[in-house]
Order: sequence, then structure tokens, then C-alpha cells
Amino acid sequence: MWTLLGIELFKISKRPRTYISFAAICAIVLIFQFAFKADGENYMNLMLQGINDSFQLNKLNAMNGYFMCYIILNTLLVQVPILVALVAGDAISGEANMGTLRLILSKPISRQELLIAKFLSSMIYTVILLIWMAICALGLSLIIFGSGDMLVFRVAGEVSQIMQITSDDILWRYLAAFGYAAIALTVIAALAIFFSLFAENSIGPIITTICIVLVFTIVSNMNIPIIDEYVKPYLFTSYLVGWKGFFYIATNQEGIPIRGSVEDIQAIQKSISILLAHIGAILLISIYIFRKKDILS
Amino acid sequence: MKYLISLLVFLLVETNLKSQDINKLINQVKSKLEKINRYEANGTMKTTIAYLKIPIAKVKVYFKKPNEISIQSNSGVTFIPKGVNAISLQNIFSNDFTVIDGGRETVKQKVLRVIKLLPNSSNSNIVLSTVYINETDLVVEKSSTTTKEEGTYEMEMQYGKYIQYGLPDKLIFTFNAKDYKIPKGLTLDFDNSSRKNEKVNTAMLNKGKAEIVFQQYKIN
Repeated sequence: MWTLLGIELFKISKRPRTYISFAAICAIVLIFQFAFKADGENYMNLMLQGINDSFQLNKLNAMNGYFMCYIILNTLLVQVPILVALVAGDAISGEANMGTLRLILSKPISRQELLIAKFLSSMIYTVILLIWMAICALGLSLIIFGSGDMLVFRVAGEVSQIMQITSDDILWRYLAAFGYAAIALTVIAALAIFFSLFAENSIGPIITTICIVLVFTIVSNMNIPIIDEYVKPYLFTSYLVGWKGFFYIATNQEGIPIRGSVEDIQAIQKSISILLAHIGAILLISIYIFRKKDILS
Repeated sequence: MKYLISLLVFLLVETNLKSQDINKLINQVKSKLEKINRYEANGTMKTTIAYLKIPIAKVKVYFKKPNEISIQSNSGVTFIPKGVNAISLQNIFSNDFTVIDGGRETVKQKVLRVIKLLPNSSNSNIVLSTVYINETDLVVEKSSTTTKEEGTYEMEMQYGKYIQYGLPDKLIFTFNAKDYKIPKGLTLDFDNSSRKNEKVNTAMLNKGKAEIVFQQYKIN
């Protein structure tokens, strides 16, 4: 199994498309950082409209690396599924396209092992992509903008809120958020692998996965009561942004944030369970289909 | 007729004495505060308002005669209420004003003298200040200041070690603030169906409170 996983990782590392994702993330992060360095104060003014009339605060101190990373993740984690699908969607269909799938399966390895190795390699790729994102979005932002207390802007129902997290209480939240994102993106990887079972070139599964993510994301973002109640709970995209929950700090009765706390840990746990269930279900169905499939290419 | 004239004379003398009495009281409080040329105080500030979830901040309060006051914090991001200049009593007393006696009122089991200060200058930002003076210690225990632009500020002071200078150990500052609302598109918060029914306490949205606890003063 480990040899198989090593081979799969080697294959991923040799594909040029693998590096497109790393370059894209780096480029997007750099553009964001440049934009905020050049004109971040205007963005801050926009976020703090209304507050400026009642409070005085040093906006430049609020524009630190932690805040930057949050803004970048908020925007980027919607696009990253596309980058994950780019590699995972090629897992089986790429082999089929090159005619190597039959050759591999003629070796003394089970189809189940091959699929799991492909899934694990896609998962490792996703984790490495997230580590790269953490280096660019968090590490680089901290170097450029410095550190400090972090402001989290939130709209919950009818309420707009500003939460302040002290600098010594942030890093673990990012660690947890990246861990959560790894699970969320693994669902996308599993889905892309599932679709790649049915295609003989990788474009089909990649496009299908991206379309599903886009349509589901749009539906997840709609605030219509009937959709909220009957549709959203069953869409995995509703849970993709659950990482933000780690930044929603709990407060005491006086409204003072409690260090090291999370407002709704149960909601995060529920989201993680649902995402893990999606991964498990998609993987099991994929294994079942792959074992029954006639390999003709 | 003789009785009527006597009554009028009595009322005039009484009003004049009363006026002299509250002017004397104000001057005593003022002269106590005027002993301070400058001070620097370390403290903590707890700001409470419906839309802000912010930790207690460590602050430094600087004062310089006649009425310059500033609050600074080293902790990076600190929300300091804009009308915080009003926490300087020197600021209230620095204006030229007309004194009106408001009688006596019991506040937190203490009988305090209520005095209204009406600025004589029409250019003053302060429209009306009401101060509640502890006549025994000659300190302002409570005040309410209505300004032209920033609404009404209320203050409550608790005194301790620095009472001889008229400087409080704890100050509760209540202020008016504007409502805060940002579009969902800016925060990308679309995942809030579970909190959809969360209603806002509108009364709390526009009222803020800052509690400053002073740990140490460096005076003059």
C-alpha cells in the first residue's frame, strides 16, 4: 500500500498541472497583499463605517498579518476546490486516457487498494496545498503586515458584529481552521475521484466537480427559508466555510471575549462529522463501482 | 404690605445666599481639581456595546492642564469612545458658565448636591452639564453632559486613594453610539441560517459603556 501511495504521489508530482495550483494560490495571495498594502485603509474604513463616528482606533494596527490571512482565506477557500478537483479529477480518468489503467490493474494489486492509494495521494496533495496556502497567506502576511490583535467582522442574522481576538489566542485557531479546511477539501477530492471513475479523460470529471461545487455553493448561499430548512443541511457546500467558526469567539455575560473559546463548538463538530460522512460515503460508493467496473482502457 | 415686602426681601436674600452657596461649592471642587497640573494614569478599560466583542484593554490616560486629555493603549487595537474627552471634569469646569441649583438628590445612598452648568458662550460644544457633588468630600460623583454634536454622556465616579485630588479610582462612562451594520457580501457570511432568528436589542445598539479602572496615578 505504501509503495502504491508513493507511486501515486510521484505521479502527481510529475504532472505540470499540480504546480498550477501552487502558482495560482501564490499569485492570488500576492495580489491581495499588494492591494491591501496599497489601499488597505479604504477597505478598513468600509468595514468600520459607523464605528468611525463613535470610536477612535488605530486602523493600521488592525491591518495586520492575522487579519490579512482571514480575509484571504475567506475569499480563497471558495476557489481552492477548483484546484483540488484539477488534480483529483485526473486520478482514474487520466490513467484511462493514457491507457495505463488496464496495465496497472493487471499487476497483483486490488482495485480497492489502487483507489484508496489514489484517494490518499489526492488528500496529501490537498494538505500540502493548504500548507502552502498557510505559508503564503499567514506566514508572508505576518512578515509584511506584522502581528497583533485580530478583528473579525461578522454578519449573523440581522446582527453585524466586530470581534477582537488577542494575538496570543489566534494561532491555534488558524491551525484548527486549516485542519477543518483539509477535511472540507478532501470531500471535493473524493467527489472528483468518484466522477473520474466514469470518464476516459480528465476534463469531464474536473468540470463536473467544479459545476457541482458552484451550483451547491450558490444554493448554500441563498437565504430562503425553505432552502434553509430542507436543502442546505444536505449539501456538503453548506459546511465548507465552517472553519470560520473557530474565529467566532465566545463571550461572557458582559460581552467580553473568553480567551481560548469558540462560540459554537457543537456546530463545528457537527459540520466535521457531516463532511467525514460525505468522504466515507463517496469513497465506499467509488470502491463499489470501481470493483464492478469493466476496465476497457 | 409690610409683610409682602418682608417676604420679597427674604426670598431675594435666600436666593442670593443659595447662589453664593453653590458658587462656593463649585469653586471648592474646581480649586481641588486645579491642584493638578498633569497626571498620567495606568488602568484598564472595558467597553461594552451590543455589536462589539472586545477584550478589556490596558490603557494609559494622560491629562495636562487646562483640559487636554487622551487615552492611549499599547495593545494594538483598542476601541476608544470618541467622546472620551468628556471624562475630564476639568473640561466641564473650564468653560464660563451660569450655575443653577438643582437641589439635593440621593444617589446610591448618598445625598448629593445637583448643580446645572449652562455655558455662557454659544460656541461651546457643551449645551448643558449636570454635576452631582458630594459636599463632604468635595468631589463630583456623577455627571451628565449634553453636547451639540455627540449626544449625551453620563459619568459615574468612584473614589478611593486619590480623593484628595478629586481623581476617581473607577469611572463609568456611558455614551451614545451609531448603529453598526455591514452588508453580508463584505464578510461573505452566508452560512448563518441557524442564527436567522437572532433579533437585535435595538436599545442596546446605540448605547455604549466604558468602565475605566485606574490602578495608579502619577500626579504633577
